Amino acid sequence: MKNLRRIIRGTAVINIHSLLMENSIIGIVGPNGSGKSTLLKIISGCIDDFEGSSFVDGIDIVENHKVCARKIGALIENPWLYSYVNSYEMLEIAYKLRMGVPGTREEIENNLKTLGLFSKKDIPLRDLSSGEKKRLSIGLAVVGSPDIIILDEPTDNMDAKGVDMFGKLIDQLKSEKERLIIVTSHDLNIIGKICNRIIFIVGGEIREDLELDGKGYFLILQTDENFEEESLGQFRIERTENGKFAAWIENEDMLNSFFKTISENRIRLKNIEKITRAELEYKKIMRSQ
Amino acid sequence: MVNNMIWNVKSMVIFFLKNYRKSDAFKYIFSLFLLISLLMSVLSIFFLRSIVNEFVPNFIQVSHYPAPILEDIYNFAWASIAIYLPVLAASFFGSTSISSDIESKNIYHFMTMPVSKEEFLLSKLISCYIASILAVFLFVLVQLITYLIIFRSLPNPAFVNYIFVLFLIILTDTIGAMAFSSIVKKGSYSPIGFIVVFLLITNIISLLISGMTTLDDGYIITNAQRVAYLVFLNIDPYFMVYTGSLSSISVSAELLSIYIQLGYTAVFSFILYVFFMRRGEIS
Repeated sequence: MKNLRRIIRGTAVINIHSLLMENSIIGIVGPNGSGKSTLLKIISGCIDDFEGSSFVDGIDIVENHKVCARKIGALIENPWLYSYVNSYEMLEIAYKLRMGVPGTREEIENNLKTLGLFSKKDIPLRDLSSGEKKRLSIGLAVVGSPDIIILDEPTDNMDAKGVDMFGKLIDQLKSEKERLIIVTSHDLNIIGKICNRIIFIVGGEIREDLELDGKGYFLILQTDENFEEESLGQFRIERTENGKFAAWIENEDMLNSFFKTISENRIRLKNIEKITRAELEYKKIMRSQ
Repeated sequence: MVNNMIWNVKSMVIFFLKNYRKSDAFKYIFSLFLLISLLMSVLSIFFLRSIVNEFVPNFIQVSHYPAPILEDIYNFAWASIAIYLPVLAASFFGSTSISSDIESKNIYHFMTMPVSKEEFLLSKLISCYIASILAVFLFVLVQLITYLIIFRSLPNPAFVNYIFVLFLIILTDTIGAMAFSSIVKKGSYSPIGFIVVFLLITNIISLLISGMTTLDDGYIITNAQRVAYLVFLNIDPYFMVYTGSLSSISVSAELLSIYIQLGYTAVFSFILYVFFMRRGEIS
């Protein structure tokens, strides 16, 4: 994407100089109204009244919407879905339009099984729960196994079963082929778990573009006044808000070693909290606003 | 390219029709139209002769009216009702078709697929049109059956004209309803809003056309009933009555009726296209 700018009533809702997204799982994070959904709408070709250019494999999405759209599957915002058709018919139309041919009954039913909706395939969508509808919407986005999958708030309204299904689906999509998956969510825990890269957006602008290394996490420590950072010298320690400290933990061994050092140095912990790197960075960005 | 467009439009039309077919709106409008047509049928079969007495002056009232007079009254009565039905059907199907899809975000399912906005719009239009036709033609079917029962013969070939004009009215009203739907934000207020706005606009234009074409100061008084129909539905009701003895209409008046409808269709199509393509949420 180059020089993206979308202005609504005199305010730039998106203002991005350049952004390159390659095959990986990218999380887009930001507060409400930060421009996440607008960015996804531009990437997926839903809207075209913006300045600048957005390309898919070097092809301009506005000029060649159909060509690009064949490579993209997207769930944008939180659609209510059509009330009177059922999940089978909804998947059927997605196959017809994305693949240009009707999907076979077996293909559609397999999709319904993956989404956990096979037993409800004949029920009108208005009778499904919001979580089930969300699962179906995700299923619609991945029909035809597109190269780029865009999921806007995919775990909103989902229960534990739905979130579990989503995790498995992401694993399956990763294993199928190299592709770009873009996810937005307010749940930084999920973003931190599944994404390799996180883009923080505030006021339509990119504030931080973070490559996530490893599967570590931070422990936020609230200590007494006598605590000295040097006593945990062998660990990566960062000062956070209100005199708290964040310690980077990469694995089980490091965690054991960390608590051993705490104990040996007689450090008194008033409170301890586990957060992902994404959550920590997000807090930093929001504090700086 | 063209094949792909036809495939997309066909697939979406079938999908939207499935959704309409199972919808509450479809059931309500079908039940309403069935009720109206059955009521008309009962009235026609049992009370046509007494209705004729209302239309024919006392001094020529007889116990057995000639068939053409009965037929005229029959056609006039049914056509008078039929011309209101497309507005109702269009308000149910068309007036929420765009706004509710945008409000519910369902439109994004299609905008993220290899489907152009024009294909989506065309599919919506065709499916609304077919749904409205099915509903209105339930009434026409009952009209035809009742005719066969009463007159024991096929109707005058001009019945085809009647159906053609009805097709045109349904198209105009459907596009008008969809144009309205592409402007308003809230789908839930659209049906009643469309009827009010549609009647207001068409009333004003119809009065202007009536005034311009007659050049007769007393026109509105002497042709009160005819003006009332023109005012409400922009169609000359006497054209809908396809036999001539009681209520003949000149060819120019027939054409005027059709031109009025085509004019509306063109203007509504333009509004629909422009407003849909410029709609903030998708443009």
